[in-house]
Amino acid sequence: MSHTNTPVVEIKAAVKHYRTPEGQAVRALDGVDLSVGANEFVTLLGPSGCGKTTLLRAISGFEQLDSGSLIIQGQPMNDVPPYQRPVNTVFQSYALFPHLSVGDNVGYALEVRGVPRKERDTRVGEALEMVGMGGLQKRKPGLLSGGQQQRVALARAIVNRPALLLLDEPLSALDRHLRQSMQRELKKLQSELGIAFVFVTHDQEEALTMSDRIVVLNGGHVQQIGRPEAIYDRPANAFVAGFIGESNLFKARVSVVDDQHAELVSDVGDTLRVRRGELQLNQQVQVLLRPEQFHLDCPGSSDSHAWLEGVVEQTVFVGKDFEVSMRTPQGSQVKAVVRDAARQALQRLHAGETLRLWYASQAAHVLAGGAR
Amino acid sequence: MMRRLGQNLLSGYSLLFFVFLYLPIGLIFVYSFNGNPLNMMIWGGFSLDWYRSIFGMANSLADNVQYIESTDQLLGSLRTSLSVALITALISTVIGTLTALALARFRFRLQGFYRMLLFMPMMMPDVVLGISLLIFFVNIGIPLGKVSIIIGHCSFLVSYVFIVVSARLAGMDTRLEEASADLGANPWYTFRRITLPMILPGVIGGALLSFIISMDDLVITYFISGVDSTTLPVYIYGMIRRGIKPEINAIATLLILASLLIAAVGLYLRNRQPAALKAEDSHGS
Amino acid sequence: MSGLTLQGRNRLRLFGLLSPVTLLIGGFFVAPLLIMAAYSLAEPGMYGGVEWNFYPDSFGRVLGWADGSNEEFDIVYLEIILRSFRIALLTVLVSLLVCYPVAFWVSRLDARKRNFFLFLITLPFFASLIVRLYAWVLILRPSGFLNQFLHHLGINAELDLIYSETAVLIGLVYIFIPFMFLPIYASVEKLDRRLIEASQDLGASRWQTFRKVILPLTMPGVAAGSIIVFIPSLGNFIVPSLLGGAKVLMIGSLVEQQFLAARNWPFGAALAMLLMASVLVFLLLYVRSLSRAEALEGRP
Repeated sequence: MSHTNTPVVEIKAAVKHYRTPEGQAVRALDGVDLSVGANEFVTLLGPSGCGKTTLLRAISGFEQLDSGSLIIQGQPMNDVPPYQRPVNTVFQSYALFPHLSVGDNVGYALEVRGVPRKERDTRVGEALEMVGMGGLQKRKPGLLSGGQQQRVALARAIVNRPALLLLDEPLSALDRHLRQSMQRELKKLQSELGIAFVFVTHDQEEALTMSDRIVVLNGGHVQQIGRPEAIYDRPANAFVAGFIGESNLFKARVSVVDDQHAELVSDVGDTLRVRRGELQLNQQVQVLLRPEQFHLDCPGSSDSHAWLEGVVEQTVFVGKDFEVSMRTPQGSQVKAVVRDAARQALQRLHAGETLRLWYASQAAHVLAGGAR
Repeated sequence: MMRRLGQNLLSGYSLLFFVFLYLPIGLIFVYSFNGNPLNMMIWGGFSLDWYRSIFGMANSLADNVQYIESTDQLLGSLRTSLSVALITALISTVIGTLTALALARFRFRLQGFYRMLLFMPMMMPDVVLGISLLIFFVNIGIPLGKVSIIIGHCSFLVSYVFIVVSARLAGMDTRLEEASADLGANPWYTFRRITLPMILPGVIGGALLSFIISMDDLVITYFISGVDSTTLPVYIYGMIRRGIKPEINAIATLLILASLLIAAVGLYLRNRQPAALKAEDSHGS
Repeated sequence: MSGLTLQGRNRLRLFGLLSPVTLLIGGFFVAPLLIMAAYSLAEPGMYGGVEWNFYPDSFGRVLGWADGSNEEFDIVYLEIILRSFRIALLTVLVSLLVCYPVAFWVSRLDARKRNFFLFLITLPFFASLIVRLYAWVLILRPSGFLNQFLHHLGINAELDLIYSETAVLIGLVYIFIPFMFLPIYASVEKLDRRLIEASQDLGASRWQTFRKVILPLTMPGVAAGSIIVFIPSLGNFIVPSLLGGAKVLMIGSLVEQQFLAARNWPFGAALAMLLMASVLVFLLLYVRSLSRAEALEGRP
């Protein structure tokens, strides 16, 4: 994650407040810092209302920051209108001009700059080729399918080779199958073009698949910035842990420590074992266990592994895997995804059976700051 | 059984409703071709004489029965009406569209106030509008004539255009304008190339509407037209007040046909606009 | 313009867009109304002029009080005002009764027919008003179509309908039918058919269904139609002048007389002020009932 080159976009202490029609003040951005390097694919991820769209619109110029600085390619942009910024956007609903043909839509940015017709046609053709839509110049956008419109919108935004491409939930209107193939294509396109992408989504799977870095936003604050694996494996706080992937979170207090391990007692009384790390006795923390970190049998030495025991409440076969929901005697609910469940083990997963779920103690992730 | 009867009653009632709506207009139409010079209510054979008469052409009736006072006056009032309606439609369409853009695309504190301000002229009784303008023009020293009529008409027709264009703007995705700006077009370019083509049916509709209302306005014009700037409705009103004459039937028929034609074109345009958007040639400018 | 902040540019643009309408409506709608208000409180001078003295008696005169110098207590004006309200209310009532069933009938037609009949209803709105009224002069006058028609049927009634309140009422209903029909139709069209079925399914009779389900749900359209018919009916003077003659004066006719015949502008202005005030009161009541209804539905 070394993007040491000069950033394309640099945002410092961005603040944006809204007033709802009812007169309530909403902090859409509350001191956000972000920098995006050249050729980087950055995803803004968060639930609706987290500020990710506001941040995107601040970069494109459709929202004005109340305070903070916005620098694109070394130039301060706070007072530059959208039409003079070197960024282009792929809009959520594509926003293709219905009265213009596909060719005129894609060529719009060139037409505006007075590029001669012939050169324009060539470049429009190239851009459409890149997104696999060659030869459709004469069509009206209204006659295209959703996926095709998506590609035209993409071609329109890259035809002028912006320094930065902004994508506002561009895949949300597509069906699952199409979405997955577009994800791969977008990623490929980005590396071909060599320009930075800032991608907004509320879909964590999408974010994990495509991004170089993910920015998790909530309540106008940056919760965590990092590579997808880092965000998934080592979430900075309970919000990130809960928002990305399935998770079992335990509020717990450190009760026993030795050189390598720490034993913790959760607020309801479950016993947990984790790597010692920096933990101190009686420290309040939160422990994250991903469902797929559980095993039905102890996979290695019992010293480095621990278990939780409880009664199976429900088991659902989801194709290849089983999703098991178990409740400990202390009352915590534990979700587990059991891989390669041997047929003979199936019996153990029936509702009402007592089950022991094993995990490697170093796999359990301790979140900084237990009290939230 | 009861239900069936109810249905039939309702259909019959509705049919009567449409007879009530169109019979009076139909009567004028029929009587305008009545060749009976003495009693226009008794059918005396088909004749185009009243149409000839209003255009000052010689006919069998005009020689012995001098009904119409002056063709010149009639044509003069028609000319006044047309020029007033054209200029009014132009001015109120431009101002109404600008206003609709301002209220639809900007957020500002006086928004509610402006909405109310634009709503008021439509709700004000015509008499009040007419006499307040009369007092105003007399006091301010603007002579009553074409100018005063145009000003008077614009002051309330701007609201009608505003409503029609606003409806169209509300149906337009604002992201289209953002997309245009995002691709480097300045506000004026965006307006010309994106916004205007998208709202054009509304703008044309507003223009047609203001043209028709201006053409047809009687009450306000009645108060603020000068002696030598009579419009067609005011002229016809005067004629009717002096007495019923068969020429009025002919003038009325022509007038109805003209306004129905404009209205039909307007309604037709409005109904087929989505198709028009798609079928339109790719390069407008 | 490049030296300005983005906000400054936007303000400038907004100012440019709003200036024309501000000048137009401010200069030629608001200002005339203010001058009219001033006139209503000025003293009528000799030969049609005004003396700029404070003179509230014009309003007193409307209500019947003598204005000291030239008249006795006389409620003739009050009678005209009451008649105007009565006729306007009757216009609303009659056009409501005429339009409501037809709106239902039209809403149940298939799309093609429905559009055709809607077109037929909107069309007269664009036809010249004076011509449409003239048609009723032709029909209602003693030697007119109606009596001819009755004569052909063998009825020699010799109805003298023109220059009566009935004639004025017919004329007003006729010209304002589209105003009443379209709002009602809009709310009838929105009415969910399944609600009627649900009501009948739950055992309500047709009358109960109408009272408890259909009527309340179409009330917004009825209210909107009523207010847009009531307001222009109240102040109308063309219809009474053509179909009511000298016998059926309404407020509008009175205002016209004061300006163009009697040349008592302050009194005419006072009458116009009263007309305007009553329109505003009705509008205000309407808007308040509207926002209350919205609050009930839980909309912001």
